[in-house]
Amino acid sequence: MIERSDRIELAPGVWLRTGAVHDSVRGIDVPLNASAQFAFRSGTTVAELAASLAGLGARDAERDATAFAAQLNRLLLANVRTSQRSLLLRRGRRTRRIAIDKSWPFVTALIPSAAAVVAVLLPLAALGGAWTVTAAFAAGAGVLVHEAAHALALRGIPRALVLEGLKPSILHPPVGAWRTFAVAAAGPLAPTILGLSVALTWRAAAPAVVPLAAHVVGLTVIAPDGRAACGLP
Amino acid sequence: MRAAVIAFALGACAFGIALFAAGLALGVVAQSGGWPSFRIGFGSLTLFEFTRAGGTTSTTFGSGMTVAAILGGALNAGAAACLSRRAG
Repeated sequence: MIERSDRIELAPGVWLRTGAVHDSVRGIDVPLNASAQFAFRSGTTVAELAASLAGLGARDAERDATAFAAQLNRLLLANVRTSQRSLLLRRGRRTRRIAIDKSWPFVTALIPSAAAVVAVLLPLAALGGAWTVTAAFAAGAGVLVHEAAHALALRGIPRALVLEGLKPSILHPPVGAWRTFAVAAAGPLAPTILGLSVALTWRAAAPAVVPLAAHVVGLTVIAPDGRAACGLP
Repeated sequence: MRAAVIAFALGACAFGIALFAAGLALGVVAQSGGWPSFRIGFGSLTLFEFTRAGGTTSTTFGSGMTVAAILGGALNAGAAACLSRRAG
């Protein structure tokens, strides 16, 4: 849900060009209509955009401004910034696009996703003892390793981290068949190899690193990575 | 055809590794939990065998692992073929 006070900011790697929004990661131009070209500036609030559209003669300017913000967000072209306080009261998943040219913002952006995995597993894991608690944390760490491997496999290609709610993915332009395979397989394989390496060098830790090895299921067609690796839609 | 071959290879790899990791963890849990000897398999094919003899324990992976991996690969290739056909 988007509100009047929300700020519409062009996502990293996206800028306004004459008559269009240019996405440097996907290498695409999304055309803007005349009103949007005139009224929209990155960083404007929905209320300010609505006022500009009303000045141009829009009949339901607020609805148009909200729909425009939602559309840009859905197309991963803009982030809708909300104050933390009102964010807690909102429902619905917001999509956020984050630049990953530096490692620290990448890690911090993924911490809520990893923490959510730990929080879901921890109550049950706490019943099992120290190893299962460690396994819950390993499952959270697996999210970071998985996405970092995708990002590394895309080295040299424009890319951005996308968080749809807490679900992470990496946005990138279309690449060749083998690169697609390598990028898709790298995510599930990295935590798997890490988990197996730990289990084989320190046998006692094997139960704790099973969640890392479980990422290997991502190579099958039940997971998006597995389908991408096979060239399936 | 290419999708099915890749799906077979990835599926076999995924099933094999998943079973291997599960076996490793089960071996450690069985050892520390003082479990008696046991075997997991189907018919004469052994997936995993845990043996406790006196003060020592051993964990053995059997030929059933290879069969299970091949079956997993075939299952994944079949699912990939279905998805490919559905996508047109």
